[in-house]
Amino acid sequence: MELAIYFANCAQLDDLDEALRDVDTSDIPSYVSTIIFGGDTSSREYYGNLIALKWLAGFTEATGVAFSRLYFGQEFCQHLIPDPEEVLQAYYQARQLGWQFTYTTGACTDEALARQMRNLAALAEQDDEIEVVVNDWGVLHLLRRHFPSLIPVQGRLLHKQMRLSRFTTYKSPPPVNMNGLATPEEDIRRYQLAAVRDTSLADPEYRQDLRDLGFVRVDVDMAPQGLNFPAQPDGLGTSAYYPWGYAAGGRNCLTASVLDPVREYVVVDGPCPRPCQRFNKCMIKLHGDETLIQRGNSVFAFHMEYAAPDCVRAVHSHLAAERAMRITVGIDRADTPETIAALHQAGANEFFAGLVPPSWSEHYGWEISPNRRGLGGAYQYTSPDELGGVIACARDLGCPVFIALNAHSYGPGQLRLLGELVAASEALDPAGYIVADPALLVQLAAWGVRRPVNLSTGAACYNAEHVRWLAELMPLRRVVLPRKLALGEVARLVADLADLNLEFEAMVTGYRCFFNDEFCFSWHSGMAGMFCADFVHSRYAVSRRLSPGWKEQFAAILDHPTDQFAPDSELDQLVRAVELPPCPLDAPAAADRGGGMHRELARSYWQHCGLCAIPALRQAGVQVLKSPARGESWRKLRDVAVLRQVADQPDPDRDFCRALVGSDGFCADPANCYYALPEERPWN
Amino acid sequence: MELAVYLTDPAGLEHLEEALQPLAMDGIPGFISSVLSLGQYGLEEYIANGMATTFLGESPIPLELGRLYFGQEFCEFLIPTPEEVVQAFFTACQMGWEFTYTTGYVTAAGLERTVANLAALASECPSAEVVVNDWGVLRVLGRDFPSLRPVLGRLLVKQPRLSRYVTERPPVLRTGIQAPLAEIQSRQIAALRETNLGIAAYADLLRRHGVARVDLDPVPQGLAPEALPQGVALSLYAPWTCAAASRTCRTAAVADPRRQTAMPGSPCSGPCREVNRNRVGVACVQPILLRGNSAFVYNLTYVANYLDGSLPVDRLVFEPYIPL
Repeated sequence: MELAIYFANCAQLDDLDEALRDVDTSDIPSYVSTIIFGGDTSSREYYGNLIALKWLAGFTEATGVAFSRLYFGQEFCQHLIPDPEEVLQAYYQARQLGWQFTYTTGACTDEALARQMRNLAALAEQDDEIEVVVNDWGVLHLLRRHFPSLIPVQGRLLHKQMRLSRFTTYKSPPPVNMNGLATPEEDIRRYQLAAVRDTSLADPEYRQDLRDLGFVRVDVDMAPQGLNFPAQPDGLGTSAYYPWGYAAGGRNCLTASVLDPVREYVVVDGPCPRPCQRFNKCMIKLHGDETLIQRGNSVFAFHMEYAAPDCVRAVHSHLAAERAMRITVGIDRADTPETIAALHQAGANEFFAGLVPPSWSEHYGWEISPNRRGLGGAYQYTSPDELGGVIACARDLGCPVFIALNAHSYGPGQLRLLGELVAASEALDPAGYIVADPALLVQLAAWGVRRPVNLSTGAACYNAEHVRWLAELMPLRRVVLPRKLALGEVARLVADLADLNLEFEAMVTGYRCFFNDEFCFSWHSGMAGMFCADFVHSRYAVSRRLSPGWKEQFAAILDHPTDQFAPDSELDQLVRAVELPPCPLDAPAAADRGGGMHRELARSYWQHCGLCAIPALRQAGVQVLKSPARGESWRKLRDVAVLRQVADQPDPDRDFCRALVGSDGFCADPANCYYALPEERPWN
Repeated sequence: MELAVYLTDPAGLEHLEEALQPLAMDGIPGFISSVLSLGQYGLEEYIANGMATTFLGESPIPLELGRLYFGQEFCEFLIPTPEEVVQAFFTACQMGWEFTYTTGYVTAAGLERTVANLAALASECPSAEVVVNDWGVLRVLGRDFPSLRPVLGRLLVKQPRLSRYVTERPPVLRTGIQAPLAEIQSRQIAALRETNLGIAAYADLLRRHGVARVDLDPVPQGLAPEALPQGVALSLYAPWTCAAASRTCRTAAVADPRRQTAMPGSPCSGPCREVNRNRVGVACVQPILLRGNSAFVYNLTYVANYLDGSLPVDRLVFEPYIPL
């Protein structure tokens, strides 16, 4: 994520330090704040500054993200367009600070367009990657024709989503005029809300058009009702302005009319004397659902709680980065309180484990596992006391521990031992259970277990209705996502379940499975090869399927078998018809000449990797990353440390992730990727 | 015993007669079968059709063809359109057969298409059966289409199909185990012959959701009669048991290489309608084919174990081709 700061003129830029100086508003006595901020709507701009700085301090502390870009220019009034010297001064100041530069422009008359032409020409001479926020199609035309080196960003004024109005009451139903309508009011309200969330930015074709026009990014104002985007990232970045959103404006100007009264109502030829640079004249509106301020010719809304991460999620806003992702780690009997502490120190937030006491293993062996880890005791805790000690230690560290009871299916003959296992687990007071089998959900309820359940990946949660059906059986805490969901499908599932207040957990390292775990009817054991391994390591061939009439052809072959070994025989024709050239995917891989360790070493270690997808998963609403390392003590610390580095990085691009993986050859092969990513990362 | 025939698309319906036509394979000379059985030609599925049609024709148990299964369990990109479902239903009517619509596990997009099909089906045949392989589909069915009759699909019956238990004496890891090997093996086999259907609270739940029939894949270790709920009817798929299913697809990767290992989030162009990409040079006890995104095992060698009268099997669902 990138953090930019936005100034409209050089005077503001000169006072950068003051603009960012934090004053603790909570220390301002009410009798003072009443005087300063009480009766003057205009003063809210300054109060907003103080509130926003609080948010900023928390954000930078949590993410480590600092300013790296200057927005400079004028979107709302062409009389305030800076001159070329000011633009260059701002640009040089940004570069001195090591920041990137974005020049903002507004809607323009021809006269203003001529001024923008000069400013753009001055910027184009800098031979730098300079963005230009475009709020007027004429400016875009100028850019494309004369200044192709400048990078256009679609401005918020070209994004026509309703900012305020009825849906500022997004937590309470907006009023609906029901005159002449037969549709139920609730339905109308729902359709209205859906309509005002939906804009052209949700249209993939329009977004493609924007990209074709050269836009790399769209700037949006956050709106209470939220904003729909395509389910799948597509290479068009998004920025959100904070804390002020533009609500409405005009070219006539209440403040300008202080010096020239006619400007209150109409637009006049000639420049404005810019009284707005010294004072402000605005409406008095002290109460309401939103904090509004009329500044110059425009009205701005201070973003309230709807700009908080949950609401912003639908916008590809970088604010979501402030929600730190948690890491859950599979542990086993090799993990003692000491290793738990080390894993926590490395970045683990919670743990999960299996418990297979001797009462179970002496009955069923390891292969019939109560938690789908049938490889042996080294993958489990075999003593409730040992697991209890670890749970207590983790609890002291603030880390919950979940117990896996995630076999796909338990038979009635297993119920007695399963009941004993659950009773032993309950005595350990775990944070909850990880469950795949709906029969176990109803059985747990019948046994009186009330701990919330994490639905295992084995529960095959591909759609929201499926989860809702399972949620009716037991209280749910979390959904562990199936491994083979597209990133857009993840986002859809999370959004569709927003009302259930569930957590979502995703896997990003370890074995991704050749088949789907939840629909694989084989299993791993310590004494036999894996079913899927045969498929991983086999050679493949593509053949054409037979056409109707094949039985007649077969019958002809069988009727005259000895005639078949001749050119153009039925069998000859059949084989020629189905044979196809080898698929390029089946060709041997070229030697790995990339940097870092050889790809096979990396593959052996990482197996599959979804580090690059973490930003998209976070954006989709996934809160927990899983390190499925039960029984693999040697890799846990490194796994957790790497996951933590990526999870804590607000903008972990591919280079960042690949450096952590340490193998160019591994990362160059998409077969090693947990998720299919687009080439661009539009969540940035 | 009711015999159903299972097809997945209208093309299959058009060539129903060929799909059911027996083809004697037992007299096939070795020099022919060795060519047909070469994996790179993908002909095993067709050879299996010949063997299965012969098996059905020679069944000692009277089989009465009276039902059409139609739909898609394994790939949501292959879900038929409502028009195709209705067409299949009318075809069944013309044949004087009952109709069962099969559904699979689905994302939100797949569920939307499935719901459209259920709506079309409910309007034409309100009492049709619907095979459910996703709890979301069952939830929608009960809420929005209560007249349709749910059948619990085989993908929701998690009995292990293959791997270690194709033998009666599977290898057992003895590390840390004191119990005698034979006892462990015996208990493991017993556990693998059960399913969660035998858990009373779960059986009650299914009953409350209107599930009166369960579709099963036959497995080598069989199914314990005592671990079944009362009153449930069973169907068996033959000759193909699904051993493992996936959303990634080696065949789809022929057209879009990303699909070999991940889900790109866009519709598949469906190259599996024309071609298949399967393993070659594989020798195994039972024929296991990778068809599209899923692996199937030829199961006629142990279907007979299910038909000895100990289980309430009253329907055989014949898959003339792997239903993908």
